[in-house]
Amino acid sequence: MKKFNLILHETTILNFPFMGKLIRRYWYLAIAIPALVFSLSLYHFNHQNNIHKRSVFFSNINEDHTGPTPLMSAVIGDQKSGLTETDIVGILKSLDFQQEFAEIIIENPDFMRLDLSGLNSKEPFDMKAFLSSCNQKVSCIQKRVRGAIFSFVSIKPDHIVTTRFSLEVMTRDHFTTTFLLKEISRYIENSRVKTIKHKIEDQIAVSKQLLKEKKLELQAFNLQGLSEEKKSLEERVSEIKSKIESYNRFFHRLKLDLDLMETKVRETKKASQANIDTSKIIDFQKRKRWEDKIRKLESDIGAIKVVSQKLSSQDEQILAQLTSELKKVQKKLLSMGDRGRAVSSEVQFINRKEGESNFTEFDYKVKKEQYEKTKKDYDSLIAKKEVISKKLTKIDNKIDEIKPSAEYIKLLEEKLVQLRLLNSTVVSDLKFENEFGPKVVFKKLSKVKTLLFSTVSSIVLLLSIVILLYLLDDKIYDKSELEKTFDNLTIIGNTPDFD
Amino acid sequence: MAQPKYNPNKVDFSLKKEDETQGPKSNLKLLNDSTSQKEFKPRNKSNRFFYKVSNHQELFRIGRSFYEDYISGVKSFAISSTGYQTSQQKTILGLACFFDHKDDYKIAIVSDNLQQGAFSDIVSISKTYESSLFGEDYKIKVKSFYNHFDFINLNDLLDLSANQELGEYDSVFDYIVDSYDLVFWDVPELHKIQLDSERYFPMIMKFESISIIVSKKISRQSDIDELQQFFLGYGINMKGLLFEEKNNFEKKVEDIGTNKSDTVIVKKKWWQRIFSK
Repeated sequence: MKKFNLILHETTILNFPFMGKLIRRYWYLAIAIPALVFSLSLYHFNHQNNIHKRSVFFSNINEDHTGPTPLMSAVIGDQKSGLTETDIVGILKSLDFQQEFAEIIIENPDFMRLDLSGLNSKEPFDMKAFLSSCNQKVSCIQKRVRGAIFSFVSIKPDHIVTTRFSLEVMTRDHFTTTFLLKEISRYIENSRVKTIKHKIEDQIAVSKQLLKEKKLELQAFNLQGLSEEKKSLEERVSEIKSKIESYNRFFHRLKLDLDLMETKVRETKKASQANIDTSKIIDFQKRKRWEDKIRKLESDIGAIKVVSQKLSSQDEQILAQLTSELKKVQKKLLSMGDRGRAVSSEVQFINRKEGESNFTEFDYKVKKEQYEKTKKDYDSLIAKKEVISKKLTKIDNKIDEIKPSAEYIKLLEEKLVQLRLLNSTVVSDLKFENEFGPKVVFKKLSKVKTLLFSTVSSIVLLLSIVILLYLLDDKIYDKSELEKTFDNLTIIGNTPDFD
Repeated sequence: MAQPKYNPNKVDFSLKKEDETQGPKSNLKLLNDSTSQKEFKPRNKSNRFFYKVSNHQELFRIGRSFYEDYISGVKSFAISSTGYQTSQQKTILGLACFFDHKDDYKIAIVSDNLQQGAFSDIVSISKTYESSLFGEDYKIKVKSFYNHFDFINLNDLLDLSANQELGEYDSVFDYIVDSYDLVFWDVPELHKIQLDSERYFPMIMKFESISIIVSKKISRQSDIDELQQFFLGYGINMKGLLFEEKNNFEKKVEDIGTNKSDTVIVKKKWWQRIFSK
């Protein structure tokens, strides 16, 4: 514990000055360990294989919404969820993908030229020896090839453009790198088209099945029959409505006529039964006589004025006499006032009504009969209309019930058309660039990394070993250490020394 | 056997004062047999007995620490290690020189390895006399180095345990500690003590303080722990640890790199300079 207290420091964790002292104490380790580590690192660096790396960029056009397929899908309302970054990076992890690619690549004429040895392998690669352990078993060969190839390949996202990725292949051999890069990029595109088509075909099949089921459901309701019946009932209702309207107009007119007729009959009867006073008749005859006289006098005066342009004195005398006569008669008529005037009309009225009385009553009877018949017809039309309306409402309700199903079928049909259109225009959502990246040859662990690793390893190893030695070493090396180790004892001083 | 010359309770403990009164002088000097105890032999006259301590400051530091313990009443110091006898001897010699330089103390150095290592040269020129124990019945050989330090062979003391006539074996060690102002114990290797603990036990019980030498790049923590636990088990005060900066191997390398006789210093290569720690 005391030794640990010496090694550890409350701020810097390790007591570095003490570490320096320990390193100086075990100085041979300070030389040996870095020398050993650097020698091993140098040996490892020099014996690493040259790794041939090549990459090709590709874009996820489904994500950027600029490609033809997503645009078309968007136009016809297809809500597609494209590949996410994780999906794309994980494409190569799919065992189905790996298996299918292995099956294809084995059939390739250049397959035997590939170098599928591990990046750290020191031995030269022989494909026959590589596959010999499978004893010609196809599944075993595919499995081995699959495992080997996909340890060389990776997909990495671009750090700047989110929809851009790079497919990287690293092998020991340049030909294998380029070959695999070409074949895998091609296969990824084809695989994507196939996957998308497969998805759409599945959707088409599901839509078809659904459509068939919905149509069968709808047939049980006989929607067409209901629609025809509804149409016929609507026509009848419309016909009845127009009839009711015309009947209504006629009926009202008839009612007015009947009321008038009834009044006429009543008043005619009342008038024919009325008596006229005798003095009123005398006054009436006197007034009539004077009125005739005035008319004659006025016509005479007018005739005289028209005939003679220049009136003779005799004419003037006659004219004056006639004028004076006219004034006298007019005066007498005025002095009668209204007397005799009403009697004349009353008499005429009574006389006329006596004549008309029989006709009026007959007409009234006719009108009344006509009115009653019309009312009956009108009421019957209203009742009929109510019955048909109820029937129509029932049919409407039924149609409303099955309407969503019908709409659904309509949409399904539309969807089916869309899917068929999509299926015929599918392209890969992962678009590879035509040009491959430059060929890069490097070692797995670079010089800088090797140097850094060696330095860090040397320091860590040196410190670890020095600490371990210190913990295991029971010897006392200096006075301060002695003081700390035997803190319960006094350190008197150094022993005297003699020359 | 002689009585202690020095009573620590009457001593002026100021190190500075002593330096000031005596003025600057070399830290370690050995007296010739013709020289009195108070008169140090000039360094340039003879280098035969001259020990040069290369790290004076360190010696002064540890010496003062031991000196403080001595002032507080500790007089029996044991120096142990995980098997570096030479380092133990050099340390004891250095400390003995420090105390000897400090004042006129009667100092004993007890070791089972007097004929080898750092002691060998000094012991070879020391005078041997016999010191009697418990009257005149038992005697042990003591090698006196010009009255500066007395070297006692630990094996002689341990052998007394086999002497059936000697009633109290433990009192031999009491007698030694009582007879000197300062006793430095060159502790044998632990495995030796563990193998024959009965004989070593009286010696251990006389340790008033023990210091362990830790050698850079050689001493193991587990060994030091074992040593520490062993002596703590006997209830001996653990003074502390002494660190040996340059082990024997490094010294040899350095000696090869530096040709002292020709006074030509060969420079270390860049990698030796970087990785020398």
